[in-house]
Amino acid sequence: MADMQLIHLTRQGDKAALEALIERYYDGIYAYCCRRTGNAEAGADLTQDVFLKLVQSMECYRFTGKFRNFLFTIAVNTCRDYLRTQKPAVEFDEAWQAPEAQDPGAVLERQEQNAVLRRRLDALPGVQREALILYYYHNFKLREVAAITGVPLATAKSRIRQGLSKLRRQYEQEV
Amino acid sequence: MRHKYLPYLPQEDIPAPDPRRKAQTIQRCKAHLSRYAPDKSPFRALFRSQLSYQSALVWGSQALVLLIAIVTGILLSHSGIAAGEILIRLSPLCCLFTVPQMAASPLYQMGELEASCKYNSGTVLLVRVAETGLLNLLALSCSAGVLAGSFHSNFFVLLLYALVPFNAVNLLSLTCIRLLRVRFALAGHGAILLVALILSLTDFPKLLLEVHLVTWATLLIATTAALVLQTRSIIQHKEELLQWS
Repeated sequence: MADMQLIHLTRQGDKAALEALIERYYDGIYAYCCRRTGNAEAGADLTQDVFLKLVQSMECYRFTGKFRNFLFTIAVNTCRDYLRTQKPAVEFDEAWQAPEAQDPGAVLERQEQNAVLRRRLDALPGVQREALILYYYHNFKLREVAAITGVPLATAKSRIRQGLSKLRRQYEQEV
Repeated sequence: MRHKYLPYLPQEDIPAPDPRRKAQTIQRCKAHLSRYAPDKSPFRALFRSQLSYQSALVWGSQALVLLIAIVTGILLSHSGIAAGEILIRLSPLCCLFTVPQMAASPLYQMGELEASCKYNSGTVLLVRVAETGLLNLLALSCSAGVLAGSFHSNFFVLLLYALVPFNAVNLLSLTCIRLLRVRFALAGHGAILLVALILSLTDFPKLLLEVHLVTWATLLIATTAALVLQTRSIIQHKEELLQWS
């Protein structure tokens, strides 16, 4: 069933439609919240908050844009609110490492490399980090990133470019 | 995933979420949904409530147009003046107080409050526009009917003469509302009506009557389509402003 039909049904109080919507978008929102906070537990809590806010604000959705963008706008704002009051996670979850190599040595090396890269990504300003996560990990278009984060297209572009160039500079210095 | 191509971004995948947490989220959302039960009040209640909010000036201006049509129909039916000419001069008067209705929310800074009401502001504005449009159409149709009876003219041709200038003035005024800040928009609306008034005092309406009926019909379709698009754009713009604020 299309998103639009599910939203209509949810607005009429259909719980099965709401469940279908949550099932469809839960993993994406969870992944975003985990990446933003660096913690799976906080990610799950925030994901729940996002969907509760969605239920409250379902009436505000006007079918003028993609529902996924609307949902990610809620997620971005929820994570911002959370990070404003919390210190960023120093140690990220080990469970995130998804090694592709079979060799334990290579796995360990990959994990260490990811840990360094993750720390650099977390050191970026929040606005650059959220733009990079939306663009590179969730495959949003630039204008969608701009709409979700509530900034003009040029600002979204420059945030991604600046964040990326910082990461690249640090990576090249190391190599 | 675009990050796979960049060596300086962490190449990690988030593991699947805990199914228990997912189920818990679904349960809580369902319980939350029960508290936001949908409103079952009929749409006609909104229509009736918005009708009661129509300004007395709107009703008065429509009545005035109809009254002028009746009086001119009685007094000028044998004077040699064409009924179409009277309607071309009269129809812009219908817009005098109706167009500012579109700008009522920003003028009184009521947009935020309207957005928090039971119906969303877009629906409210749409209903208000539809009601105002129907009032205008009713006033112009009655005027055309009265003049058609007095001057023994074709009702539909007269309606065409009434609707095209009306649409044109509305379109220009709504464009002002869409593009300018509210105070300047209302000044623009006043200026457009003033120009229409000055033109109606000249021989311009007589010249318009010489234009072929097919051109009038084409103009009616074009101006109506533009008017619908402009209204849609104003409502969407207002909704977007409120949604993202």
